[in-house]
Amino acid sequence: MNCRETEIKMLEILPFKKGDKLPPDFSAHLAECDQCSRFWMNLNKDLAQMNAGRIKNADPKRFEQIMEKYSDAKITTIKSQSGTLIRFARPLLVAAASVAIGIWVGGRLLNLIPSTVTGNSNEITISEQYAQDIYLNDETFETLESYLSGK
Amino acid sequence: MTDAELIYALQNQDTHSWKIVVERHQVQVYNVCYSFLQNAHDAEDLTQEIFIEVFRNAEKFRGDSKLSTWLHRIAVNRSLNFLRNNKKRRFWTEISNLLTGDGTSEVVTDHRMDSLEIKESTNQLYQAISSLPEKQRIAFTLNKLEELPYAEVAEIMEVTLASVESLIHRAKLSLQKKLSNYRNNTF
Repeated sequence: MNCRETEIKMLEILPFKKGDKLPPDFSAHLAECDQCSRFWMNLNKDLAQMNAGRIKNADPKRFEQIMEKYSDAKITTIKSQSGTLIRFARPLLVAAASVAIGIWVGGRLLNLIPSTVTGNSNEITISEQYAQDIYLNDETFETLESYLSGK
Repeated sequence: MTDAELIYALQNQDTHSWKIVVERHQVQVYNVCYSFLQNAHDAEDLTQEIFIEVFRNAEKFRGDSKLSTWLHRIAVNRSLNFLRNNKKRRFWTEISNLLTGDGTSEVVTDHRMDSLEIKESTNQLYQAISSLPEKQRIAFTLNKLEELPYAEVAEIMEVTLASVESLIHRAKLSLQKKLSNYRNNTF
């Protein structure tokens, strides 16, 4: 067994526990290779460090802690929902109020402007005169009809 | 109470069943979180959050796997999400530090982050496992640290047994390379 094969074997053997038997060729290589032996020791040390914080027994207080957090989370959810509502309601109200004020001010301003400017006067405008000019009265109609029908 | 009865009670918002679930599965959930996070405080916080999620989403449990498998799955996903968010947070804090030139911000004072960084720099095995692609990392961690058989790992990851074998094999080769580099530089 060479060093590379030994390294792969190390990862296969992990997690190595006391009482477990190492494969003979693996043990033989470790006995003769100082580097691999130290590396194997470090690997086990790292794994032991990684497993050091694991728990074996249930914590009796855990359920109460979870329930506390659960009710806190519920309150937070309600708070955040109402917070969202308030957050969106405020700009919506401002926008609605702005539109209403705009309409009201606009209406007031239009009433103040003289009728000549807005075109609401009783005088006949050019376009109205033109419309009257091209309007055919009943007399003209009759003349045209008699001309066309040859009567 | 059997698993099926427990799930039924859980789905009916029976708080007594919540207590049983916590008592039965807290060690397993905590240890999965700890394997990924390597921090007791974070693992504890996450364990509590996972159980709250389970109580809230019990009706989503389809019942096509064991309750423990479902809990394992949630614990793995939540742990990986936590690590991702932590990475993002660290990145943005570092960016803001660079911009503001403030050396006394969160990164330095956050004890949880500090302990994780110390562990990352001293524990070569953890560092090597953390650098594996996500699926290889999950399979290797569940098999080697949680000591779960391949079949259970496959069920948790919702992949075939052959996929798990392949993932663990590739993880071993990749770890061997990474650790070998470290060995050559150190010894």
